[in-house]
Amino acid sequence: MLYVRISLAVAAIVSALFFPPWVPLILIGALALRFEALEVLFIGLMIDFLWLPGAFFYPIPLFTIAAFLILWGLEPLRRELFV
Amino acid sequence: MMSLYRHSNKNGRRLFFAVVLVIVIFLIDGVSGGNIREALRFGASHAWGAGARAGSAITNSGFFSTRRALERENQALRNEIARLQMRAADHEILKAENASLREFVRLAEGGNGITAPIVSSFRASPYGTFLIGAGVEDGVEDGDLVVVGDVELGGFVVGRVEDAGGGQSLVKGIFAPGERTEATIQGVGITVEGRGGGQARADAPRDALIQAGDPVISTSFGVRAIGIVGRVEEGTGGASQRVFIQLPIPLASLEFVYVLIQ
Repeated sequence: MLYVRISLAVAAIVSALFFPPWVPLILIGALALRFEALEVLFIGLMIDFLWLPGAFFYPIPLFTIAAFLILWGLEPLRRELFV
Repeated sequence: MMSLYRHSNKNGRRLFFAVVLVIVIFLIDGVSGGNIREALRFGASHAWGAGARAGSAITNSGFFSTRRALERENQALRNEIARLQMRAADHEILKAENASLREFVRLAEGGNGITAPIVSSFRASPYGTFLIGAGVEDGVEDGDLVVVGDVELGGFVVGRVEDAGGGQSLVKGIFAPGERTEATIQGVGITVEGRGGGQARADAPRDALIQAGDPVISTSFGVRAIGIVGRVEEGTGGASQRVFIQLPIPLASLEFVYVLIQ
């Protein structure tokens, strides 16, 4: 399962460079649903660092916030279904 | 009764520390003047370039193309060439006329600038931004306009530099989702609302004579064109017509842009 997790994380990082935003979003969701994947937060952070103009928290880093909400929101469901 | 949808305390602590770390990284990046972003964008631009070259080599090899598809494509390309040759002839006539008019009227000049390659995907950004391979080292600054097309005639503005790094710069497209720009079509004032992907829309008065192909001009960018009208939809019973605006060339086909250095 570690290989699956690493593959999903790498796919999310690569898709952030080449594909529309909904593709890494789906991969982040899959990661957060199946694993306790804190790297999801850092993938969201990476996407905002790549594409978001400005510094600090303006404009609002939407992808980082979305990654946090997905991770936090899916955690109880993940524990219920997979642990 | 305990909630069935509960968060674990242990996982909550880990998540809390991860969030704190993310905030710290944001602060470090801000305090350092964007060094972390710049390094990420440098790596991403090279990774994208390698991937784009590999993808281009595979698709251009014709390995995945059937004979029939290639024949159809060839015919379509021949028709497109003929159409563009005619447009080029019309363009030369207009160019000569425009050059003589510019000697009388001081409109926005081409100005100094540099040509820069596009080093990222247009569709990957959730914020309507893209990277170009020119930065502070090349004289690019925040706020510089990015244009395509014939620069001597002003070109078409596609974006503005938002974050100039050392060797790369982040450009925000003027048609980025949610971006609003004041413009005119045939002298009619409109507010253009970006929809992403080089597309935008606006509402114009119902009686305005607007048709497909009309240029969209914006004084916000030095009286330069920002797009052309792609389609006009007249709503029944309404006081306005919906105008769909696009760039004259697909964003995905762009390889180079011109940065007007202030």
